[in-house]
Amino acid sequence: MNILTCFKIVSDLDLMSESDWVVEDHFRINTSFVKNMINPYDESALEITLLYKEQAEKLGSAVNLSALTIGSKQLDAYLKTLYALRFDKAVRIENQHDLRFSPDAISTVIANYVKVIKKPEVIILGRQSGVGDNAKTPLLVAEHLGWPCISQAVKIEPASEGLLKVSSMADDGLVIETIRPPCVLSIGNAPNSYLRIPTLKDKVNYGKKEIEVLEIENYLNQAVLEQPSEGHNITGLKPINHKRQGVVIEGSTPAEKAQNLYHNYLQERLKQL
Amino acid sequence: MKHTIVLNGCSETFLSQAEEVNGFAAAYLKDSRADKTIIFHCTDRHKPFLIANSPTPSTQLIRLPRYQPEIILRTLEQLEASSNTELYLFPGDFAGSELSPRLAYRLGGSSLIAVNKISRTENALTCHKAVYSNYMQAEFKLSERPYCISLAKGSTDPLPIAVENDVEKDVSEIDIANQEWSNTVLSFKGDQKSEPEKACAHIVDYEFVKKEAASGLENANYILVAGRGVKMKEKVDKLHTIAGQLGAELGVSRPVAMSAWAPLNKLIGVSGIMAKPQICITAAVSGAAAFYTGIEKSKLIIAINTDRGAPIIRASDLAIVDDYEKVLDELVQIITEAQCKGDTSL
Repeated sequence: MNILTCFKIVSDLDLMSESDWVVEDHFRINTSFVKNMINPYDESALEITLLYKEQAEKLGSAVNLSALTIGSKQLDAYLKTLYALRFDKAVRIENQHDLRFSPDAISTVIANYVKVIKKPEVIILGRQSGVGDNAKTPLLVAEHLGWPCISQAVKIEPASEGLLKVSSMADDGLVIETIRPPCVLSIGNAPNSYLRIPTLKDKVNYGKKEIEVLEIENYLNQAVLEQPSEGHNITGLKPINHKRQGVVIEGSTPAEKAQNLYHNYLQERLKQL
Repeated sequence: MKHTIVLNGCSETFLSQAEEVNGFAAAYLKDSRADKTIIFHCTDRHKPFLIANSPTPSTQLIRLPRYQPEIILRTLEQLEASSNTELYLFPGDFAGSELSPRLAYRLGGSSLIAVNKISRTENALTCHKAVYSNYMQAEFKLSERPYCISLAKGSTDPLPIAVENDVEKDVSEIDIANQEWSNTVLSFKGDQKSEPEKACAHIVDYEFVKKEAASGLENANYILVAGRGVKMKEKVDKLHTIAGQLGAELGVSRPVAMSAWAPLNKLIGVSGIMAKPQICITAAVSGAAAFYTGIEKSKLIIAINTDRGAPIIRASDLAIVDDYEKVLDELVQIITEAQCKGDTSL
């Protein structure tokens, strides 16, 4: 089975301080000074993909894994790590355009790439990423390809005859389906799915394979790239104010602080609950 | 503007969906004409309840074997292709979030997920939603009709559906399970695969495991939240015990849930539960915006954290800069002693 897992590298926005949230021209925000990371939902997608491969290979099924990201050369370090984790192919589609709020453009690129290589039977993506918080890319990839989509997937296991057993969260329970590919799987809150770390030996042996670099213009019209037509345009952006009083309860010991909290602030409120 | 509401009547969360959308419509769609509510449901047994709690006078019930997005989308695509509805409104749950953009794609419209406010302008719908992991609020203009939006969880207060005894509800029904009907209505031109079964031919086997009992966090008056700083499952278990001693419900932040130190139904934040307690105590929580959104409707937020510079300190009403374990142990002791002295209100 051929699986394509798509991921995005994002800034760790939780490291930004209050004064860093400055809106610049074209509603841009400079987040370049905080460290990057794999978008958490995409990190789960990558780890779930690797877990699937391990299980399928134990059952004697061959699995070919490709990883795809869209962005600049600095993302290659992440793709090398994925090679070291035994992905078979790492692809980067070079892009310098602002596609933060353009999930339709991103999904068109992914779908067109898939149509060209005609390979993957399964596409796995995280359900949402910070910055745009669009939460639409996996759904629109499925629409562009005319494939079914299972959203909020949390577990993927091999089943017989090339089928997949997919567990996904529903609003009032867990759905476990045996699926016949092709399909798009959108990964939701999947506990214990932090991406594993490659060994030094695997980094040396596998981490230096060549990354396939493609031009985004081959997968999306230039005019659309310059002005993505999503049916929506951003027209405003401002920080959300989370400030409250922040009164610090003083005391020389934890006991004194707890006493102060209880007697001055909690006791009466607890009676009213 | 004419709007249609789409609800998932197959789910036990139907009432909260209906009240959520009803609250949003009351806040932002006063001048809009409600066309109808489309309710997908799985059993006739619930029909009276669904009709009674439909937010609009006109209701279209669509019966299907179970919630299945591919069947629902195909049905909506066929039924609404010639509709002049300008806005489709979906709740902010999993179903609403996956259906709204896919329906927009199929109807040639525009969509936005997790919308917390809208206003109508000429030839566009202005929508507001949180972006940058809930650190920023963005305004978008949607220009392609129909607009298909799902709501941001907890963005508006739920509004119970008014019971109007003298108003007869206009109800129409469709049974997707009826093969003859679905062959006629769901057929695509030149497409032989017309039955609803074909819309989900990829599914070979299906099993549904009902969610474990609700954690009660949504409606809890008093919560204690464990954050990443607790560092291990044993500490979360201890906080669970402390929460019980304090009379509070335990919630957790995303890193704690993703490490499987607590079940997912304890997860608070944009990807979990939006709590609105009278009192919220956070222990070793840093205060990431995506988490904070889940507690921001708390009347009183008390943060306990060793780091005075943690964002949660500025975002709380009261803060204790110290070791959360020591402070909470003391607090349990104080409250236990108060109870022993006969303060039975605790």
